[in-house]
Amino acid sequence: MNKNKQTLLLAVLMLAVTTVFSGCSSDGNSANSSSAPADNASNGTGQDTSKNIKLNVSFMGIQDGFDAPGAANDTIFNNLEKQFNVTLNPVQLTWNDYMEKTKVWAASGQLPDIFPNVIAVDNQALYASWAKQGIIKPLPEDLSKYPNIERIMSLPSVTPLKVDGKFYMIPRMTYNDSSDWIMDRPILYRKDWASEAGFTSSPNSFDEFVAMIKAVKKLHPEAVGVTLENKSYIDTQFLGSFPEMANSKSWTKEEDEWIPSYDSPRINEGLKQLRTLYSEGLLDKDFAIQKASDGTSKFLNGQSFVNYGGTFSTFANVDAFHKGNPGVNLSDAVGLMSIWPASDGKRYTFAETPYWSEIYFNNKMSDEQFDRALQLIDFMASEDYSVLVKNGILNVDYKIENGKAVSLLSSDESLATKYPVTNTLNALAQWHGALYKAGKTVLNSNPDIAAWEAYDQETFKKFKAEYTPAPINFDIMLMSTPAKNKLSTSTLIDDMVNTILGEDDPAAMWTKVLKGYESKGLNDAIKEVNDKAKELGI
Amino acid sequence: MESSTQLEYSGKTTARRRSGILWKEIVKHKYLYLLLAPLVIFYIIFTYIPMYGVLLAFKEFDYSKGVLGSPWNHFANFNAVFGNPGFWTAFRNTLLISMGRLIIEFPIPIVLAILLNEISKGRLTRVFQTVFTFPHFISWVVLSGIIIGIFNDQGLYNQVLALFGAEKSSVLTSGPGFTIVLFVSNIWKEAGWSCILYLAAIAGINLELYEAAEVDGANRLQQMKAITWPVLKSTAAVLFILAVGNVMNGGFDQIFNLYNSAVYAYSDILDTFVYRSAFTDATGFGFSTTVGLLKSVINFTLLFGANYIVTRFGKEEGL
Repeated sequence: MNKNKQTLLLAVLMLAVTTVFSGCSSDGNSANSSSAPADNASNGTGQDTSKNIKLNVSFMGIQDGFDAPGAANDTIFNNLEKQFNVTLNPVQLTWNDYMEKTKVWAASGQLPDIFPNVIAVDNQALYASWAKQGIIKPLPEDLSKYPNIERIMSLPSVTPLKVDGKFYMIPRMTYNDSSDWIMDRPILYRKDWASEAGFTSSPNSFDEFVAMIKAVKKLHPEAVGVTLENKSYIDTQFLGSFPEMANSKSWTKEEDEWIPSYDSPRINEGLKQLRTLYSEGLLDKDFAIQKASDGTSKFLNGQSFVNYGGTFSTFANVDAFHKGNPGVNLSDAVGLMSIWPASDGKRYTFAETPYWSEIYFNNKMSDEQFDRALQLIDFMASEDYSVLVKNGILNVDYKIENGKAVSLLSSDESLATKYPVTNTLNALAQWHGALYKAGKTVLNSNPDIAAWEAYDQETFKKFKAEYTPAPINFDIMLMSTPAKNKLSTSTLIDDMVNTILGEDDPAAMWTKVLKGYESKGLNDAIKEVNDKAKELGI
Repeated sequence: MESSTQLEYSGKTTARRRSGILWKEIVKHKYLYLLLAPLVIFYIIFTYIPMYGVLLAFKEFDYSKGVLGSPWNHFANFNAVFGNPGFWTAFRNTLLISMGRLIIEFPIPIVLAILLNEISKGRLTRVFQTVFTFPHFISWVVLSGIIIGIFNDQGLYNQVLALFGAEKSSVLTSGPGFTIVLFVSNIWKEAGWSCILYLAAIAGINLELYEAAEVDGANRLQQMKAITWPVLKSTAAVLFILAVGNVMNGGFDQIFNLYNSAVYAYSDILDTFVYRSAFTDATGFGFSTTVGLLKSVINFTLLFGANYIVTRFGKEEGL
C-alpha cells in the first residue's frame, strides 16, 4: 500500500470515528442559559429586566412556529421578547411524544428551562418524585411580584398540589371555574336527520336515545349511529347515569367511604348502555381501533349521526363539513344534544379542575433566570395576553364596536399566519378559555364559525343555568398519598373498551377488571385516602 | 508444589506466546484492523457501555442522581414485575407469538427461495424477487394504516364479505383474527427479504450438479431434495439459531402500530409492555428495566441453548 493510499485510508477512518463520536455530542443548548446585555431596563411592571436572558422553552409544535414564513415579523412575539428582555430558544415537542421526551430529558439532565406536562394530577407519583429529587424548581413562597400566578396558586382547586408545603408547577388554566368545562364533553348530532325521523328535541332517557338512533339509521342506513372524537370520549356516556365517572380520575363517596368512581357498582349501568350501543350496531364498530379524530371525521363527512366531542370553531372542520355535505347549511343541520336525566332527575354536565396540565421549571435555572421566566409566564397567564392572542393588536387586527371586538382582518388574513410564533406558543401558560366564555373574543370573520360560536355560547349559558355539574370532590381527586399516587388510571379507558367489546356480562367483566386494580394497590389507596380525608375533615 | 509452579510457568509462557502471535497478526493486518475499528468503537460506545443501565433493575431510579447514584432497592422491582398480571400476559404472548413466528414464518423464506430457484431460467425471477422484496421497505407505521384501512368496518375486507352476503367482521378487535393478521402481514412484508440469504446460498451451487442429476433422470423434486436442500441446510441452521436467540422479541414495530386495547390479551408482548410501563404508566424506569433484563437473560439462554443443540445433534456448524 503506497503512502497516498495509507493517508487516504487514515483520513477516512478518522472521519468514520468522528461520525461515531458526533452522536454523543451535546446540541449546545445547555439547560443553563447564558445572558447578554440589552437596552431594556424594565418590562413596564417596574421589575428589572436590564440584562437579556436566554430561556429554552419547550412546547408542542413550537419549532413549527419559529420555522414558519413570517416568523421574524411576528410583532406580538417580538414585543413579548422585548418587553421582558428575553430570548426564547424553542425546544420541539409534539402531542405524541411529549411525555416520553420529557422523561428522557429529565433522566439525562437535559430538561429545557420551561416545559409543559400533565403529571401533577395524572401522575402524582412522578410529580412528587421530581419535586423531591430536585428535578423541578419550587415556586417562591412570596408570589406578590407575579399577581396572575399568585391568583392561580391561591385557587382552592390548586392548593392540594403542594409537595412538602411548596408548589412545583403552575397550572395552565383552561377556564376560571371547574363548572365551565360544560362544553368539553359536547354531544354533536345531526338535528336535521333527527327531525326527519320525528325527533325534535334531545332525548329524555337512554331508551329514547336508542330509539332516535335506530329511527335515523332507517333513513340513513349507511351512517354510523355514534362516533367518538377519540376513545376517551366514551366516558361521555356516564353523564346520563353516573356523572362522576365522566371524569375517570374522580372519586365518589359510598357507604361513608371514598372510592375511585370506577370502583363503584354505579359504573355498570353506563357500561351496559355502551355494550347495548355496540352490540346493536349503533356505536362505531371501529371505535377501538380508531386514531384520534377518526370519529369526528366521519361526522364531518356526513357518515355519522351523533359524535361525542368535536367542534366547528375551526375552519378545517367547517370546510370538511361543507365538502362532505354539499348544499347543507351547518346551522340548520348540526346541534348540541343535552344528555338525558340521571336517576335523580337531574341533567349533569362534565366537570374538571379548571386546568388539566401544568408548566414546570428546570431546577438548574439560576434565580435570575427563574425570576424572568416567572415574569414572562405571569404576563402570558394574564387576560391582556389572552386578548392579544385571540383578538390580535387593537386597531390593527380588531376594533371595539358597541362593546364587541370586531375583526379588521381581510378574508385572506388570519392571526395564525400573521403571528406564527405566537400561534404555536400562546398556550404555554393558559388556554384562554376564560376570555372566550366571557364573550370577549373577536367575532370570527367566517360566518359559519361565528354562528357556531354564538350557538355554543348560548348553549353554554343554558346548560350552566339549567343543569348540574358532575358532583366531584376535587380535594379528594387531587389528594396525594403513596398508594393512591402509584395507582395509575392510564389503562382505564382500555379496560372499558374491552368490556364493551366483550361477550360476557359487562358487570361481571368489570368485576374482573377491578381484581387487576386490587393487585395494583387499590385497597391500600382507598384506606390511605379515607384516613387522610378523616384527618382533613373532608 | 513444584509441578504446580511448573504448570503455572508453562501456562504463563503459552499465554505470552499467544498474545505475541496475536499482536504480530494485528500488526501484519493493521489496515484491516483499522477498517474494523470504527465499528468496534461504535459497538463499545452504543452497545456495551450503556449496559451499565441494567443496574436500574436493582435500584429505585432517582432522576437527579442518575443510574449509578440511585439508591439500591435490591429485588423490589422484581417483586413488582412478578406480581403484575400484565407482565405474565405479555410474557405468555411473547412466547406464543415468537414460537408462532418460528413455526409458521421461519420456513416460508426457505420455500420461497427454492421456488424462485425453480423459475430461475425465466426472466420472471427478477420481477418476482423485486415484488417479494419491496414490502420490506414499507415501514410498519405506513403498513399498519393500510391494514387498518383494509379491515375496518367500511374497509375492503368487509365490503367483500358484504358482497357475498356474509356478516361484517371486526378482525382487528378479535384475538384470533388479529393473530392471523399478525403472521400473514409479517410474512407478506418480510418473506421476500429473508429469502435473499437462501438465494445467495443457492447461487453458490454448481449448475453442473443439476445437469448431472438431470442426466441421471432425477426429477425437480429429487434435485431439490438431493442438491438444493443440503446446501441450504447450514444457512437455515445459522438463521434458526439467530431466530431462537431473538425469540423474546415478538416484533415491537409491527405490534405497537397494529394493536389496540381490545386485543392486549393476545398481542401485548414484553416490548410493548415495557414501553407502556416506562412512558405511560406510573411504574417507572426501574420496573421496565427489570422486564428488559429478564427478557435479555432468557434470549441469551435460548441463543446458547439452540447453538448447542444444533452443533451437538444437527451436525451443522453453529455460530
